[in-house]
Amino acid sequence: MSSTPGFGDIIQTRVDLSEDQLTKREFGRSPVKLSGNPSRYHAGDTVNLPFGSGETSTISAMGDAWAATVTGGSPE
Amino acid sequence: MAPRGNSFGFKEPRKSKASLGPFPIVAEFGGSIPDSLYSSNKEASWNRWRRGYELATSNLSYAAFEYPFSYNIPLPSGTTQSGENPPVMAGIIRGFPTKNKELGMHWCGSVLAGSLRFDNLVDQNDVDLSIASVTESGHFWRVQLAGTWDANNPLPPPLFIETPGDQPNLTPLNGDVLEDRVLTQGGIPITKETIDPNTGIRYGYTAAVLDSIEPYNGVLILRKQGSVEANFDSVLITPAQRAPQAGRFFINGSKYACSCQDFTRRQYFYVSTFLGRRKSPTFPLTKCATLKPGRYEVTTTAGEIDERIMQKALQDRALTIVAPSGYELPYNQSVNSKDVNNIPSNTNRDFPGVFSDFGNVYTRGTDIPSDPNAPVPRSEGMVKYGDYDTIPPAAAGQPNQLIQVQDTWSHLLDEYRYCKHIYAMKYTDDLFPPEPSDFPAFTTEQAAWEQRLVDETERDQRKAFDNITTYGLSYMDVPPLNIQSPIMISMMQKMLNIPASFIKIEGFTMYDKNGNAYVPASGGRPSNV
Repeated sequence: MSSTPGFGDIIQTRVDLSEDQLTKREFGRSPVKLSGNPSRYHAGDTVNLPFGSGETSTISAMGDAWAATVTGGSPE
Repeated sequence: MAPRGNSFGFKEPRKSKASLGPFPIVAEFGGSIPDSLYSSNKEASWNRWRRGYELATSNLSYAAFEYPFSYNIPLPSGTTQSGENPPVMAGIIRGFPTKNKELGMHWCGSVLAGSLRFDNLVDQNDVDLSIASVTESGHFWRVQLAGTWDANNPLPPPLFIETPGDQPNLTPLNGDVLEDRVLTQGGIPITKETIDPNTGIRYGYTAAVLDSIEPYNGVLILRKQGSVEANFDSVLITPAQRAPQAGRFFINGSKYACSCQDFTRRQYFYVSTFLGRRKSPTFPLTKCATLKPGRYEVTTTAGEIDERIMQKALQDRALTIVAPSGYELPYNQSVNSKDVNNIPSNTNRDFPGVFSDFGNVYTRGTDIPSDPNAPVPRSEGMVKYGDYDTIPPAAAGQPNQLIQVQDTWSHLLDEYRYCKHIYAMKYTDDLFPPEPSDFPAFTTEQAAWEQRLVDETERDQRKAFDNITTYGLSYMDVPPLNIQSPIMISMMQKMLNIPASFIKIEGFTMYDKNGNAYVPASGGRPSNV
């Protein structure tokens, strides 16, 4: 998380796994070895998706999809 | 010795093999007493809330099956994208190993807060849709959005989509959680910790369900019940004590959906034989008495019915919901056209309660005589059933006459009635979900019930992981390549909240355990080192 988040960056997360949690994960009765600090997005995060004026934003694309479907439109 | 047979003395016929199943799995929770308490317990959100907490704590100690993604919403044919940034929706799908489930996994998903922003919507004059003013109205906040609104210029999609003829208009965002967290156009959403530099005090924000809209007046109606406020002390409280702030923009709150039968209100059964472990027939039998006439769903490919379990990895399918005349989808009761079932706006959308009763949240009185419209901050005891009404009997000695039966379902902050998997996700998100007030009527001591729940959950989770190590999941069985399966497609439609025909595998960018992006539709694979 940087002080000036970019497009698609997480600006708030509630997932901060400890070293202990990362090293002691289990798979059934078997310890499992995982590397890396998992995943980019977690449920409960807040994402920064700013769009400029006139850009096709997520919410406008969602609106376009619904508006198209009532008249029988389909995706490209 | 009593004769064998039933109470009439007839010999019971030998049960055939077919009557032994397999039957669809309809498991829900509840007590064991077959009376009205059973329904109360079975429907209790509290039950799911408590089980979700246990599942979260049990599941934490194991490896989580997390599949973060960003989904690029495809544009309708004939339109082109403006700007450099793609219209993406960020989210995650998480697997919950489940002992009692095909392939041993329930998939629970969430779209992240901030994916939808109202500073990207404008009115007819290109005025941004900021919050102009808020007025109190009983259980609701009436939020007036900036802009000029009239019968010819209603709220823009996806808030409102006017449909031609007598077909029902669409309001896809109704039921979603909105949060007033963007202060300026294009600004970074505030968090509960963000401090106003001018005052040195945290901004705070309010999250509430969008209950309904007045499209021609530019008004959003938010529900106070179940709302959450991040207050000046960075504490989440419910219900919120202050309205959304004028001048800000809304973003969406986290949205959840799950593939389990409790959330989707669909029945399922095992197809696989678990590598030969299971010997019974593999075709489901449904008793005639339990059949519900009318609505059903199919998945289609290019208009052809296609409900295969296994298919090509990158093939997209569409969800089609069919509702014969008399069983129309509960979207707009005034519509009574037999063609309503075939218009795309309905057939691509998964409606709550289509397949079975979607669960009740029993309404409660406020118990505050001085302010009957105040939101209820606490549980006030046993539920008060408000779903039926009676009048005195026609003659003395007769029972009361039942004159009305209805669902009293209403969405709280929890839009739909959540399942335990969604509650588990909310717990692990550190978003401790408000305790539902429909406390079940225990037939045993609560402490004993909870201790048994703790033990059972731990044992079931261990067993579920053992099962997965036995028969495993293939690459086709995990997101996003499994999202076109008949069980998953309705869940994905609910979660992404776009028409099912606009959910395409090629739109998914996934992130592996190191945070690196890959596109499965282009042959991308996660890192295995």
